[in-house]
Amino acid sequence: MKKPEFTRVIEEYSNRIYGFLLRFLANREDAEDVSQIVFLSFYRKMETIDPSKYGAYLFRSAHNAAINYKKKKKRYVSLDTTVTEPVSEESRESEDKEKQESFKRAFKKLKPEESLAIELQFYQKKSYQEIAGIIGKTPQAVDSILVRAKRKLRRYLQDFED
Amino acid sequence: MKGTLSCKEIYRKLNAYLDKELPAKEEKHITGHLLTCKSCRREFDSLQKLNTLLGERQTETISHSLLQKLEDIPAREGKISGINKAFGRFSLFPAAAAVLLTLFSALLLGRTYLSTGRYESTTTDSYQIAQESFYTLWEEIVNE
Repeated sequence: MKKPEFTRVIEEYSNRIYGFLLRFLANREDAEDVSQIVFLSFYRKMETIDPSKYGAYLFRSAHNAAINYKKKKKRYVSLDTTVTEPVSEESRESEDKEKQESFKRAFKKLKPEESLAIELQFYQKKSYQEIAGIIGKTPQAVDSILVRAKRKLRRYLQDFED
Repeated sequence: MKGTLSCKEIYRKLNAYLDKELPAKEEKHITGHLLTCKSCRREFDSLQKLNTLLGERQTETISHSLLQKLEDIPAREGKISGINKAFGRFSLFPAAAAVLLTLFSALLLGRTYLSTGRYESTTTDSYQIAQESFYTLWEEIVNE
């Protein structure tokens, strides 16, 4: 019973969680490692989670796991050796490379909760109410986070506003 | 909502306005304001451009190998829980093994001493005790 349900969850969420982690960590291998951590943890706790909250649990878990992963990595890797990999071969073909790089740089400047809110709004198409449920804040707080995040992004992406 | 909103208040609400998260009355008010206020309109256009850029970004697809690893999680977890169950059933096994090993060592030691002819009287006793204990324990385990 547990396995078919887990397979369904993978089908529904694996690309979304991986996409989020890839944007958050800006490294393919790291995103793959953390994806496995997130889904393994989900599988172990699956029976205790309300099925209507699978998505919220996975995103919150991915967010926390990614922050922990970054912290751990910082202890071992000096900042100046950070190598940024291309986010996606396919998207690089269709998007301007410079724009991609600017996005990546801009996303790195955001606080974790800001990038999560942007992720949930634009990539997961969640409403403020839904985002609030996932990150444990009020819809008003979500609005403030998004306003702050977008101000930062606009500042870093000024070139594209012309 | 009060009668009119100042530019500063509208500026602050433009994000929620663009995201269609405002009550209908406020939304209508802001729509009207944007028609007349150039400054707010400029801010709105800039924010809209950013939203478009963010919305344009493509979704990522996981690799086949990662998908395989995720799909294998139940099987891997099944193996681990199988091992745990096996050890759970024989939770006394490590303790019993340690006792048996000690007794077996005592047996061997006793035999060595006997074969060398030294400490004959005392080691014969301990050898016999160890042997009896070993067989008693062994029988208990087998009978269980």
